[in-house]
Amino acid sequence: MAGRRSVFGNARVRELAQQFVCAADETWRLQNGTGPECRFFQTFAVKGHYKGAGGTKQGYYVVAPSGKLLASANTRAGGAIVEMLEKGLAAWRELSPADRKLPDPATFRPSHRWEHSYPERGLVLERFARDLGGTDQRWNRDHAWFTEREARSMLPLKLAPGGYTDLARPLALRLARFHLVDNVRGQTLPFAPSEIEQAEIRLTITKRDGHRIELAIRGHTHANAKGKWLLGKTDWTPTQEYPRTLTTRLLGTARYDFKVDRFTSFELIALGTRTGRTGNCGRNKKDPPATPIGFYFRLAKPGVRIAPTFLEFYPAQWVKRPQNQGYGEHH
Amino acid sequence: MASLILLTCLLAPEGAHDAILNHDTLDVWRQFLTPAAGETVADAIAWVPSLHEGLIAADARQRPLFLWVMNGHPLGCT
Repeated sequence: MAGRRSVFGNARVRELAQQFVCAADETWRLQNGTGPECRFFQTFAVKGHYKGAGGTKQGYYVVAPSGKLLASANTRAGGAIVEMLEKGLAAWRELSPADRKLPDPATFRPSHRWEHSYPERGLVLERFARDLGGTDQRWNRDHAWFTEREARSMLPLKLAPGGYTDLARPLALRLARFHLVDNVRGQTLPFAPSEIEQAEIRLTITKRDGHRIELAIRGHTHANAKGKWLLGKTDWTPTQEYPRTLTTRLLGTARYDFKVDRFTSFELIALGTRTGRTGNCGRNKKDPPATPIGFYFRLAKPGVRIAPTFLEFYPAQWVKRPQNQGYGEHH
Repeated sequence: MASLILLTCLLAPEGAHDAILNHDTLDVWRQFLTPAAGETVADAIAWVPSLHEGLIAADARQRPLFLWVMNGHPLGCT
């Protein structure tokens, strides 16, 4: 988060960006995958700031649609990104039309992306996580996906004030396992189903006005991982044990409109306590063992299709899984 | 009210379960937990969310592609 502030907080970076088409993507899949889009990325990334095959390819690239690399860098220094963009623009201006030209889409169009599982007309939430107290201002964002059918299942059968339903166990587990996780300071690990000791969320209708209902949401979750990884061999499998817990109380409100058959608002706050750490989550042994943490879920902006971090672990039939793509496989 | 709630958390960092979370304080927590404008400067740029879509858009607009890649999607969890 600090890097993106220092880079994109630089006014000249934002000014120069207007001369480009700007794209963002996830590097683990691109640098390790075997599909066309991944291979296309690897072709220019191996010539960039982290030369050669293998290893991380995180960073910034200026590329012609042809795939010709024009500039690259991985730095938090806004000034260095300005230089990179200016270098890239200068190189672009020297390129012939032939060297700029986009190749046959078959050479870069992905056969699988997690975004292919986007739940059309479903409940798509944006989630923020932040520490409570302390001076560290870091935060992180993720998304949570529910299909239209799953969203509908969150509504009580009795569609009148007082009518309530408890969130179906698979959906409550989804929140507790994948979205109420300590990734405030960096990526973390999900919880296994058996590590969720409590995941109880109730939705109660507080008001009905014709085809619209308002709901109150309340709940509690408690996750307790003793340390051993229980989710098999995956890209996320850690090399050591990470005992950790995360406990929350949840409170929120939502509105559902039967005329459009979807939630028109959804806000959920979860406050709690986290203990322990994982390898990349940014906590270390010097940090206090238990600290308060907060989460905020809201409707994602329309059209935002960024896959949840742990979509590959959703035990849901509607998630389209990669076949022999070099990533996302579970054994 | 917001300051008092946050001060409670700061003074008793392990007391999150006792923190005031009710329908009257939802707005306070929403405000605290939502990144401020200065924290989301990257969002000021209109990012195409994938490499392949970026390539197609760059070709259509005859512009170079500025690609940002991270472990975790930069527009998601990193």
